[in-house]
Order: sequence, then structure tokens, then C-alpha cells
Amino acid sequence: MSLGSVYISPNEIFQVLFSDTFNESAIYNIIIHYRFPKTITSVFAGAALGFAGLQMQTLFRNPLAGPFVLGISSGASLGVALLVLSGIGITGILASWSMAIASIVGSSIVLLLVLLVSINIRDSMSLLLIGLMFGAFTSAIVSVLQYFSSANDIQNFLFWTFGSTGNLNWQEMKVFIPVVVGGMAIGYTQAKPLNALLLGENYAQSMGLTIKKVRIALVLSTSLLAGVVTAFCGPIAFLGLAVPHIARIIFKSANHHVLIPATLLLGAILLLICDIIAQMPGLDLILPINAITSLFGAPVVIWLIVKSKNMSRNFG
Amino acid sequence: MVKTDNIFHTEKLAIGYKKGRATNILMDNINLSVKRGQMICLLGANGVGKSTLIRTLARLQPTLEGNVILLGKNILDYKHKELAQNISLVLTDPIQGGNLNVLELVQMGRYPHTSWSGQLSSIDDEKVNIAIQQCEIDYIRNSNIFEISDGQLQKALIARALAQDGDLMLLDEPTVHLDANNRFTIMELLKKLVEETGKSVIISTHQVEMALELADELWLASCGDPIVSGKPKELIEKKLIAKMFPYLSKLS
Repeated sequence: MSLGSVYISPNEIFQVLFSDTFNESAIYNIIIHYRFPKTITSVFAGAALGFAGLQMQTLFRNPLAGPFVLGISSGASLGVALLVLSGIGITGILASWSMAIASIVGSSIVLLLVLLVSINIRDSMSLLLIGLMFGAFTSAIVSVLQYFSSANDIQNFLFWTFGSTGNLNWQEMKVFIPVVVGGMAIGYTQAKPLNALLLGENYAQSMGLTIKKVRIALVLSTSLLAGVVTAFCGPIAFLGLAVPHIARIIFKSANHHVLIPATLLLGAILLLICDIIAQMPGLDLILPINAITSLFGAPVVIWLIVKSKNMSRNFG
Repeated sequence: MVKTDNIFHTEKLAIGYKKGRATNILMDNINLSVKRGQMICLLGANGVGKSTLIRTLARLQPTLEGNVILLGKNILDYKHKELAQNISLVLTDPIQGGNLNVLELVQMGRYPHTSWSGQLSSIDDEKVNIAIQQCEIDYIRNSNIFEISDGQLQKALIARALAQDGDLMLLDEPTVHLDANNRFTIMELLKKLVEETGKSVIISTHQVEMALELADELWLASCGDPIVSGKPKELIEKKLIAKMFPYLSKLS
């Protein structure tokens, strides 16, 4: 929190947070209205994305699964693209709200489609492919929309796709945090089924797991987590994919009672680190967080693949 | 163990696959029964529907016709958890549970017996330990399942099914990837388990010789005909074994 264009010492931060000395000063404003919400957002967004990635990787038994392959983020992008590129000039507080809503609506529509398909499909691999197809489909629509939009609208949309954890004010936090916590709660109740799913769906069913119920709970949890984060922070790449792998390597466990807290913690830490890098101390500008996560996430994933030789052995 | 107690049977069961309106029936009019403490070997050529039968009996896929009755109750009327407490499985599905060790694998067998948190009670721990002892895998209990051999993994999977503690265990080709020694060990182990625990076991296998020697009953599946069941000796006398496996007579 102390790092940024203006350096604020930890001491001052504590004073702002826990006493009244700095009321209404510039530092107070920076901390309460920018740094503090940003930090909390990073913690929750990182934890949410990591957890969502873990659930998807186990459900699909695929090391490359993440919240984004289900098409959830593409759905969110489509919602935002429709809003921004349609050129309706909403400004101020309404703009961020309508953006969030458009994004959540977009991701829920894709989610509902995926859920509908999943009722008729037995194996999760097809579901994964369908998610990818939905993603391709929605990004195609986004491209078409971009083609017909004004330069200004495209710029707005591009800024959203860069991702940022710093756009949330306290009002928006009141939506963001409960949804994330709700998604995590649903996900946490599935820790035991997730363990059973490690052996594959046939074994899981033979152990008394109701596969449809679990699948719906997991997809619901993931889309809540990924949908709301994408809505407020933009599509943050790689975190959902990389965090579960790092957690498995560090904690050397396949047990989701261990992995869930581990991904929550690591996701939060990683996004915080990326966030700090994004707003390098001494620099006046803030880099897009999505670029940072990709810049660091991609090499990490490559390193992981090379190190473990056979990725499929290392995922849960 | 009294071997007269009927715990499991099928009534005019038909198995196969439905695709739209077309139905592909692999086997029909299957009337079989399993007694407590019986070791049954299901023999038949590739593609005749052995795995399909195993999966249907375990309710992993729907029946086309007829009923499967477990302990006097249709398996369709069981809740998922209830059924899992009575039937356990060893399948040919590849296991990809990275970072999982043998102990954790066997503990998964207790899944239908634990609450939502998956916390193991002392009874669960004891059953897991007994299953590990009975399958003679105590020495690898902390090894990662990718460090152990296929034969050891198969034993661990059997231990998992054993820890699930149902009356009936279904095994789909448990010896399929193994060398001759391991095939022998696994079948001997299964025979020993049936005798020690009084559970009933149905094994689909291509090991005709071992099945003839160890099984209490054989189920012979051939394309187009209904499954024939009987004691190995009876089936040999009726020349059914020789008819189905002509290569056996050429060997001896």
C-alpha cells in the first residue's frame, strides 16, 4: 500500500487506518479512496481467480483448464463490448456500474448456455471444448463490433481489457466482495467431491457422488468468481491457470482441503505482487495489470511444464 | 461363510447403448445371480460387452430393459451414496491424480461413509489400514501413485475398493496391463480377499486358465447368445469352455 506514485510510509498508513490524525488530508484521501480498496480488490480477485482455476482443472481433469476456457470471460467481454462499443455515452458512476452489470449478464448468459449443454453431455472434455467454442464465438462478435465502432469507443473498451484492480470504489466493493465470498463458499462445500473427481468421473460416481449436482455447483461457483472479477477488474489472464499449479508444487498435495486455502493465499499474493509491479514506485504511470500477469504468468507456466516434463501428472 | 445367500441378481437385463432412436443391444435376457462370498469370473471376447455389463451393474450407465436387484432392492431405487456403500469398483480408467499417494487413494474408498467435510473417523482409518494390510501394500503406503508399478497400482485400487466396504466388488479387467507374475498375484489376492472378507467379487478377465482354477462360478459371454453361468467343472464337462476358447486344447 505504501508504494505508488507517491510514497507513503507504513507508519502513516496505520495512522490513517486506525486513528483520526490525518482526516481529510491528501494522504488520507489517497489511502482510503485508492490504495486501500485497490489492495483489498487485488487480494479478493487473486484468491477468486486462483480458486476458480483449481476447480476447473480438477473438474475437467485438464491442466490447461481455467475460468477463461469455459467462455466466462469471453461472455463478460461481449457484454462490455456491446455496452461500450454501442457508443452509448454513459459517464461517471453509472458508467462503471453499467459496465459491471453488462459483464455479469454476459458471463451469466454464456454460463447458462454451458450449463444447458452440460446437462446433455456426459464427459467434461466435450464441455471444455464447447467452452472454447463459445469463447471463439463471442470474441468474433467482439471483433465485428469493433469494426463498426468509433475510435473513441474502441479505446474505452481496450482500457477495460487491460484490466485494473484500481477502479473500484467503496460502493462497488459492496457488490464485489459478497459475490466473491459467496462463490468461494459454494466452491468450498465441494472440496470432498473435488477430491473424488481426481480419479475421474466414473470412479467418483462409483463412490456415491452425484456428478450433475457437483458439476453445476462447480460451474456456478467458478462463474460467480470469474464473472465478478472480470466485470470489475477486466479479464486478468493466467492467474487462474498458474496459481493451482504453483500451489500443487509448493504444497505437494492433491487434497483439496489443502489446495483450496493454498490457492486462495497464493492467488492473493501473486495478484498483489503483480499489482505492485504494475504501479512501479517512482513511475508516474500505472501499467495494465493484464500485461503484467501475462508477462510473468506465461514464463511461469512454461517453466512448470518443462520442469514437470509431463504436465498431466502434476494436475489434480 | 454360507454360500447360499443370494445378494445380487439381474432380471431379464438388456444392456447396450441408445443413440437417438436407435438402440444397440449388446446382450439381452441376462439372468444371473451372485451369492455372498462368491468369486465370479466373467469371460468373453473383446467387444462382447463385458465392460458394458460391469458398468451397467454398477449403475454407471442405464439399463435398456430389465432390472438389477441388490439386497432385494432395485439399484435404481438406491441413493448414490447408499449404492456406493454396497458396490465398489475397479475400472480400467486411467488414473491421473497427480500428487496422490497410495494411502490417500485408499482413503478415498471411505468417501461414501464420511460427511461433507470428508473427515475420516477412527473406524474409517481402521478400515483403510485393514484394506492396506490385506492387499499387502503397506510398504508403499506413502509412495506417490506415479512412482509405483502397474501391479502395485492395481493392488492399491483394489485396496481402495475394499475400503469402500460394500458386499459386492466389481472389477473390470484388473489384470489387463500386467505381466504374467502380477496377473497371477492379483488373481490370487482377489481369491484370498473373497475367502477372508466374505465379499462377493465379479471380475471380467481374459485369464481363462486362472478363472477356471479360482472362480466359484463362471459367466461366459459370447456374441448373440445369452450369458451362460455355471461352475467351472460343469462348463468344462458341457464342452462350453472348449467351444469358446478353442486355443486351450491346442496348447495342452
